[in-house]
Amino acid sequence: MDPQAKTRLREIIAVELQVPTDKVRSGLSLRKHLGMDSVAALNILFAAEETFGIHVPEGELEHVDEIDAIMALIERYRAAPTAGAAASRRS
Amino acid sequence: MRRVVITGLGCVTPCGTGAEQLWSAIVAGKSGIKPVTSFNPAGCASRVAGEILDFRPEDFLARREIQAFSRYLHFGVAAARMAWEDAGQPTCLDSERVGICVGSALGAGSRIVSDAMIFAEKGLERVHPMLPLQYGGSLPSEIAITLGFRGPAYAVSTACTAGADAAGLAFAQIASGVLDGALVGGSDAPVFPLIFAAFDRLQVLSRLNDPPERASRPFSRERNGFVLSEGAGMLMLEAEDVARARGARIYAELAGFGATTDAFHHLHPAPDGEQGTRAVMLALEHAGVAPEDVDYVNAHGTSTSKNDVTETIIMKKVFGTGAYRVPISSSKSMLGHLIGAAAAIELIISVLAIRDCVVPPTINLTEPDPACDLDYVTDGARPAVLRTVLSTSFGFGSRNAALVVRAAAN
Repeated sequence: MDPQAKTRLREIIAVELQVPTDKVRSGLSLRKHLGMDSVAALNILFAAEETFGIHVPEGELEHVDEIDAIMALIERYRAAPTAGAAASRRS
Repeated sequence: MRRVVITGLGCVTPCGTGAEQLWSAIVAGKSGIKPVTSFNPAGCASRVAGEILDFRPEDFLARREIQAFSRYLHFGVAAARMAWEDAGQPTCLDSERVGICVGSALGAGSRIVSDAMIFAEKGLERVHPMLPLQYGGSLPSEIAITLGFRGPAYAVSTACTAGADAAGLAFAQIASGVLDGALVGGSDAPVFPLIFAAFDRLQVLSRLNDPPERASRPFSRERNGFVLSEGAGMLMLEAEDVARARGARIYAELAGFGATTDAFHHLHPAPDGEQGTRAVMLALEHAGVAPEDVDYVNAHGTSTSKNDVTETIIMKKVFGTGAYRVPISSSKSMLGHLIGAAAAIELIISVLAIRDCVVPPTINLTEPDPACDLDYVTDGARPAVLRTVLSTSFGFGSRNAALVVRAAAN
């Protein structure tokens, strides 16, 4: 996992959910513990796409609720944009 | 009907952020107009604007709100927070009886345009999910969320009279007992390439670019258009009995409001000034004052060829020969035209004129238009006993609005 990318993602989440960055920890549910609602999820995804130059197909974020899971999504689409999409369609 | 008083002021303008900074600049006759710098106005005949280059949204909003919303909202929330703080943050008011009414012309237009340009360049995948929330009503909603008001929250889209209309509508709600208080005013962020160019193509912007601080010349012979500006002005209104019960500092009474429509033209005022006159008379009647009781008129005074001469006609119809005695000045000579925010900022100026007993000047008027022959206060700010002030606004779409502000009873 790219630590700088994770730091950047942590900041994106912290700004959107209006919490200190140190509250965005591995293992915490963004929805249950940090109050991420549907609009916030969309904004986090959009900001992540802008920051990392990726596009994540609609619906992918419904299945993720923790920073590590979002990071894995980002790394999958960074590595191979179309393969990442294909993997999503297969799963 | 309850009396309505003004208890808080807040603003972001090309002449300063905060009511006292604005007022100091206005009294000193200091222009906030400069060459356009946030984009290249090449191809436009007008090259000047009232841009706000030193505004820090992070002083008033969280990063999330700054990123998610428009400059119109940033200005408006900042001004609202200032007015609320200036009123003493009266959380003793019943939040369900405090409303919001803000005016704007463009609303969140700058954000919609920039998102549209990204869409045109990068396609569907880069359409922002917050785009549907970029509308005029986003500002009153954000103020309500920020300050916890639970009364009705409206946005009024009446262009140059919007700030006055917003104040007038909330005034009625408080006077009739529907509300105890309201944050009112206006915000506009129209200084961006598309809209600047569009106003320029409509040939309504001043082409007197050099020097920029002399581009806005209300009532003068050589005037040829207004200067486009941005910003916001907000005022806290309260029922007088509620304000006095909580020991509020009361600036002045909002005593009268009148609004009419010319039903004439989308851009030009009706040359006979009949409905503009009627708006003023309605406001005076509402306030229970006669024209000769008015001590000062803060004019609309845009520096366009048609407004200034029509406004002069209206002043003569309202005041008769008294039009030659009442001082009349245009703050737009220094601020330019903040469109939906203009009337709110001019209401703030009218309030402070009463507080300090100073008539603010019109600057840049060295050669008057012969058709504009009244006392426009060209000799600098003038001390005067001010008890009753009239503020006029005449806007795109043939509309007219007038507000009467009065010194509060002791």
